[in-house]
Amino acid sequence: MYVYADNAAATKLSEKAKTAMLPYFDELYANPSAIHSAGQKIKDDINHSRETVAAAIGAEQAGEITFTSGGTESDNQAIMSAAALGAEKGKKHIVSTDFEHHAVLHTLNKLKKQGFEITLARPDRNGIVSAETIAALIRDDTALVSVMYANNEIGTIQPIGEIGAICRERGVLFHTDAVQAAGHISIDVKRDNVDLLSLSGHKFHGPKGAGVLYARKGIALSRLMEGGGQEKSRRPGTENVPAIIGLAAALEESVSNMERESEYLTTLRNRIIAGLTKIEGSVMNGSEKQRLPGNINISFEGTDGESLVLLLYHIGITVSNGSACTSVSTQPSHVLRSIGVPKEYIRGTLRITLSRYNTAEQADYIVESVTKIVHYLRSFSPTWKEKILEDKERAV
Amino acid sequence: MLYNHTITDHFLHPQNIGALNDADGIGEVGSISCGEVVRIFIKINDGVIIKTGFEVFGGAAAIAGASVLTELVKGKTTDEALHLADSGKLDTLLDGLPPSRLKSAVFVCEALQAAIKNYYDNNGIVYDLFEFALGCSMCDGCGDEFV
Repeated sequence: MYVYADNAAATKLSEKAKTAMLPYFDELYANPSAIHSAGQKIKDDINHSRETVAAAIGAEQAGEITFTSGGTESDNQAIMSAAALGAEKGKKHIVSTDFEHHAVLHTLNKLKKQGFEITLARPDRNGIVSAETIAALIRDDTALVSVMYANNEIGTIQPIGEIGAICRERGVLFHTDAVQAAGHISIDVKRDNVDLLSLSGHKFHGPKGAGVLYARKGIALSRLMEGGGQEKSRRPGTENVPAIIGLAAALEESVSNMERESEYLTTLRNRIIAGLTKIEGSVMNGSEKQRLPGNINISFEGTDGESLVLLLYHIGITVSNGSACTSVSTQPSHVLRSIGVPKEYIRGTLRITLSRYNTAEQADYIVESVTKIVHYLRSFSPTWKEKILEDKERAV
Repeated sequence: MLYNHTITDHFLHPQNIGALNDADGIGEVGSISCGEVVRIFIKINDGVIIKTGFEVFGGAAAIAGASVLTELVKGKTTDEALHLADSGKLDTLLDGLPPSRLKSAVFVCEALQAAIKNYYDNNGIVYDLFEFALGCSMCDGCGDEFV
């Protein structure tokens, strides 16, 4: 049986998105900036996609949507723009969290070297950063608060509406990296008082290479690159038309099926969690309630995540041991460290992320296979044997 | 795939896996904090290694490396085995580890050296301490929570 359950890394392109994209490769290929009607037709189609995206996230107008190359570019541009706006007013302090994606953390680190002061809030043991925690860190010179909508490893959903309300009240710009949340849980930039938001096509059955930066009307974006006047001069370079069309189609589809799909995935997720937490020496990471419908993150004492992932792949199950963006590193994940996963567990972590294409039969196969492989790895794990010995001694 | 065919093959089908109950020497390197522990067991007859075993808490590089090295030293004298316990040689035998996983080869080699040293100590055999790695030679931060 082949099971793909690494959907937080990338999802399968939906049929709807694929069908929508195909004409833009070899039929509708004119340059959208051209003044002839072939080009203007493409421009209209991009703007139609812009309206679709605006509606999906509750934006006031389509003009607030800028198409980018993906979540990383959107995060970079959002943060650099807010920093530039803050610096103009002498505000050079930014609040964010310890467990953001590296697209945010590394951008903040760059700003730090440019003289900004960065304060990172630490999530609690459940993987939640409370609005009170953020409120306490905001100062008079705070230019920006950036808190992810949902964490990419442990899937915990942050209180974005509450944080947004506080930022609005205190007059601070608020950015949220919604890459993992978009298309999976309800997002409404007006309801949540969000000023800047990033999302990425390939996380909700759209294509790779397209992302969105939402910037509330009136927030001037700084360019990351110089070039032509595309995207109202906010993002030069010929538009990735097929990917933009596919992103909008996939987002529209995901949002319209959200309720049903969320229910389906939550059932499937809980079935796997129930099965895997039966294994001795296992621990779930992150809140079970404030959690993305398809995310399971669980650690098994005495095992190694890389070995788990590779052995599972060998029997047809594709999962991960954390973020794909940091897979070469041998360091334990900064996310798991930030929520204080004990060192006995932290190395043996699996991230299983589901999509609409997974079935109950696959869920059971995952539970059965992970159980088998955890036992296999422990059969020759010196640290697990020591733990068993210590437990026995304690019992005596 | 992060690993080449040789490593993948040994990882999926490891030789000599598991503890030896009648080991004459046991060597262990690593810790939970540094994310890898390698334990090697050797059985000696007339100064020759006749049986080996290993346990690993760690990734594919450590498991494959321990499989290759414990297979290689069977039938060798302890002196010969000490010369083979070299992470550069082991890396070559594995057709090249990813640079981020070279540490695992060092752990495997040092665990074998520790097992031989343990056998010498148990049997009152005199040796030159400088023949042995003095533990986790590539690591400079065992005091840290994570290394």
